[in-house]
Amino acid sequence: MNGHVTETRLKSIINLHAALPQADLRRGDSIIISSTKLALGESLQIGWLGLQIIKINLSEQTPTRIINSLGFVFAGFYMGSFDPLRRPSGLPTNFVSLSGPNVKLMSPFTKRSFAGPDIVTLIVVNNTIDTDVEVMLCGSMKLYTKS
Amino acid sequence: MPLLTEAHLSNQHSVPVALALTLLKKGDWIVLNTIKLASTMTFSFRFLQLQCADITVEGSSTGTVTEGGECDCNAPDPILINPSNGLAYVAIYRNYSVNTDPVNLTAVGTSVDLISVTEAASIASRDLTKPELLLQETANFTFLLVNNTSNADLRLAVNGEVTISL
Repeated sequence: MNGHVTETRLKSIINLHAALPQADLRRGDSIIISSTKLALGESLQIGWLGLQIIKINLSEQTPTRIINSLGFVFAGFYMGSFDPLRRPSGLPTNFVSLSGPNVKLMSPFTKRSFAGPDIVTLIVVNNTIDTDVEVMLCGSMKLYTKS
Repeated sequence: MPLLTEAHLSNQHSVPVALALTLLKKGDWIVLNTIKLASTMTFSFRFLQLQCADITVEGSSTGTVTEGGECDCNAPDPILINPSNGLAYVAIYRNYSVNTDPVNLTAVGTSVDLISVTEAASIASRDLTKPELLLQETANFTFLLVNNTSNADLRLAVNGEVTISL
């Protein structure tokens, strides 16, 4: 890990961005931010993942959650057979979750990697059945290709 | 100049500040990105471009042409909310509280890091000859895109990047 990086090694590492500027996310809805297909020998490292709830109306009632163990909004990575046509179910492998107007960051000090072959999908989910929100997400990943 | 190591590389994160072409109504603003910095992190900002693709000013007729072939549209000028900036701008704010009008706030590094577009169908860019903006403090830094007119809707796109070093 402390070895020097050659030009060839540097070229084999690809920075992938994930950006969702302020956007409406309706109750129970989700948005696929990125989907990365990893080949055998490739890996994907999560570098940065920040999630912000910009607007949420908490005054009228307490939102009812779909998945009780997560916040009103979460962004997370699903692996393998995630079906984008269906509502996400179950826990993502890595996630950041929020229940109020705030910013939260997945700790960038912990290295999280996915090894191929696999498909890694990052989605942001409104985990309520009755509350619309406005969210922002930003992230960055490193794709280590076969060098 | 020191050589690049794997450890150094894996501690550097290129975070996007991006928006595909979007209609922003008069006087409105949106959050492009919020970077939450911890004490050991360094925020380095160098590159951002803001494109104003289209402008629709209130009260302008849409392309009526006279018999002589001249445009009959008597388009009024856009009225700027903050006259020191252009039609639209991207600026960075420290610990921005959502719903606060950016007109009432002072941006971080205003002279260097406020990217402002002054006319339609143009692209404004951060001056790459200027030194990068380096921030090292525990705070939230929010990039806002602001429509700085009180009578014009704009279609805007943003493309930029921030590097975070752990």
